[in-house]
Amino acid sequence: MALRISQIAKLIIGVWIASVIVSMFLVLPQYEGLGNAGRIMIMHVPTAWVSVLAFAVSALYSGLYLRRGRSSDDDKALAAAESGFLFTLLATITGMIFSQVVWGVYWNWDPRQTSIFVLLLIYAALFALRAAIDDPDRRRQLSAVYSLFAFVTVPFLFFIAPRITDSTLHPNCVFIQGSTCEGIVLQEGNIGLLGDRKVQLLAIDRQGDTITAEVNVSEPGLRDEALLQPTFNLAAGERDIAPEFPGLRFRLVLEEVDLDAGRVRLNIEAPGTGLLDNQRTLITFIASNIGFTALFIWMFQIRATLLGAQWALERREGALP
Amino acid sequence: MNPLFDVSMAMYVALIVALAVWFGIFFYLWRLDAQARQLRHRIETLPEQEIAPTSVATLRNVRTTSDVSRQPETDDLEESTSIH
Repeated sequence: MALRISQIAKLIIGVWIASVIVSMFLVLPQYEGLGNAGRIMIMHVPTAWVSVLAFAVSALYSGLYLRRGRSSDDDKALAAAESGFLFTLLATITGMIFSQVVWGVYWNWDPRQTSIFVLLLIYAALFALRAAIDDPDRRRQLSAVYSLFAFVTVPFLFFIAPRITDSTLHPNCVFIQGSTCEGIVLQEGNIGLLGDRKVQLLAIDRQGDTITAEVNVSEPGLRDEALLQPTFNLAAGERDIAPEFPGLRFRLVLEEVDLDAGRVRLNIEAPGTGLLDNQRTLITFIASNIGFTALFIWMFQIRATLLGAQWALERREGALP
Repeated sequence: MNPLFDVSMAMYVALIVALAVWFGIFFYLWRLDAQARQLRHRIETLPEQEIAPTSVATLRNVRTTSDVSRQPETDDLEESTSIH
């Protein structure tokens, strides 16, 4: 009976994720500023979420192994770490595809990209450590301790590091509540940083109710410069024209104007802002998170079973004490 | 131009490719799962010898230290080894 339920659950995972894929391509609307490229978010964010979950499970079983000393706990810790590594790789690759579409390059060492790369290195080192130690008990103990320490870095690298810097092009404001998305306040002549772009407010012009900010935008390394002119409508009290950064899908927005003080608030509007306001997108996004979480649990079970079987066979063959 | 890359068709082509990749992964996982379950079942149920043959050596007529002083006889030195 349990086997039948398990088989049905696995079939549901298959159909569920297939439905998410169909919805991703056919049901979701295009996103303003992103076009069809924005659909990859339905895969990118859930894979990143599942990798955090997998590393947490790995740390949990590592702790249980240190407490109880059961080899099955070590198998589960390794299975979860391997799944987490795989999902992190998927998140990185889908992020790189998004990056190529939006930023024009696959990799530009954005804080988010750098932090996920460091995370991959940390867990790659765990597998290297395991491979380097022959004694099974010692291998399990050391890797359990390492896994616990590795997990300490996960919240920092996933959530804190990309948030403490304003200099990121990652659309944090879309998915991560509490990110710093307040833009920068500049007076005429001041220089600031939006994303990885240097911006300098050259002048503030007024024509009727329309305020125009003349902003000089420089690429990293000051390779290219461009003059952008975002506008603000005083009568409506809201932004008006939001020009795109050169070569990017990001827009420069004039959010607030203080004519008396000669100050304006400039912000970067990431593509996909307001993405989850759409009901169809939100449902597909949640469904994708659930589907990938279930997929992780299934993969985790298979890998843990195989590791347990491998250990049992080695023990019977006399390779292990 | 290849009609598969036509703008109106591109979305459907991408969908079919994504579904093909997913179903490939799904059936691979399904088979792996079944095999892992079978393997675990075999390990749990079969006797140890059927899983992995183990070499066993049996010694007879082993000389003790008290035997060292006397002259060895032919029978005492007989040894037999059996491998199972």
